[in-house]
Amino acid sequence: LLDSLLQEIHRRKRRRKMSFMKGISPIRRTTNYLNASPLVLKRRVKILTVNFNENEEEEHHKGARDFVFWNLPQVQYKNPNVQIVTFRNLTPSPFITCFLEDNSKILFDVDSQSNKEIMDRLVKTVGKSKELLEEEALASEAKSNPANFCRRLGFDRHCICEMPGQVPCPIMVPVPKHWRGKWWNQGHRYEEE
Amino acid sequence: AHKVQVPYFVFDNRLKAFFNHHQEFIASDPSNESKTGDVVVIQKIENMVQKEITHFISETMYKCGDVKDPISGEYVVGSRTRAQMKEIEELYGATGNFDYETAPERGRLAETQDFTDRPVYRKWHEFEKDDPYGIRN
Repeated sequence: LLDSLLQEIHRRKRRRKMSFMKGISPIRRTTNYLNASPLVLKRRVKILTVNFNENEEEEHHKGARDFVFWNLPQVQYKNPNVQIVTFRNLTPSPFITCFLEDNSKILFDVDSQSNKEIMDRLVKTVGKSKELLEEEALASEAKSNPANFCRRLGFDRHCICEMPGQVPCPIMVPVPKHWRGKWWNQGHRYEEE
Repeated sequence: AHKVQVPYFVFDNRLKAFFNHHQEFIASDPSNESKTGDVVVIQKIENMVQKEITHFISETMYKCGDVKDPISGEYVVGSRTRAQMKEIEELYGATGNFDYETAPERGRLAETQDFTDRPVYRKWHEFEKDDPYGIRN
């Protein structure tokens, strides 16, 4: 008993530092924050490019800088299949480019706009509308029905044979012959035992 | 054919942060204008001729050294346009600065003195014809 108590004290002293509080503004690294973005890009947007300058003195880039710092992780989290690239200190004015499926580009001149304005603008032009997002949320709920089988598709159980009380898997226990379709169709049901 | 490095973000589930990863593709250049350092947009080839060349360069976004601002259409260096830089130089009375207009096009020393366009290898034997892409350590 004494040994186990000592072990517990040791365990409490060797506490790991919480990895949550590391870095600048670690609120950006919470799932709640990442999910809070209203911007889910339409399917035809394949690449999103942000051009901005890092120099603090260039005030007209501040909105773009804030967008990249605060909102870009949110956008990438909600759109994992869109390539997001940032270009720093290339051009005097900040802008965002969206490359679409049919090889066309949409340029957003983002000079002197705050990051909230940029976000609203993107949601309005290339983002899925709120109603569409709600519909999709409903549809995805139906897909994640826990009553379904197939582990390959992400459900919990691979077959009904693993549930207690059901017929065991024929790999382990062979099924009675007269239950098999093969026996039935090959005419064995007419044989007299 | 050019080797194109494509950056993309990968989410770390524990740290809840995105980290930069790169993937390299070999893209063919139908216009033959791309040089090392250009920022390009590549697209997947539908009918592949060679197994290694999976993409082709559909668009050059920014040429290395001659960046054109897509909004204003002017040549740009960092946070200034070339015109602005020239104005500042004239105000200061600078002489002997690099003149973008009269300078020859980039890449003129490509095969004579600049051997960075093709991958370089180590040379272990001296042949009669000296290959500049082979380096003796």
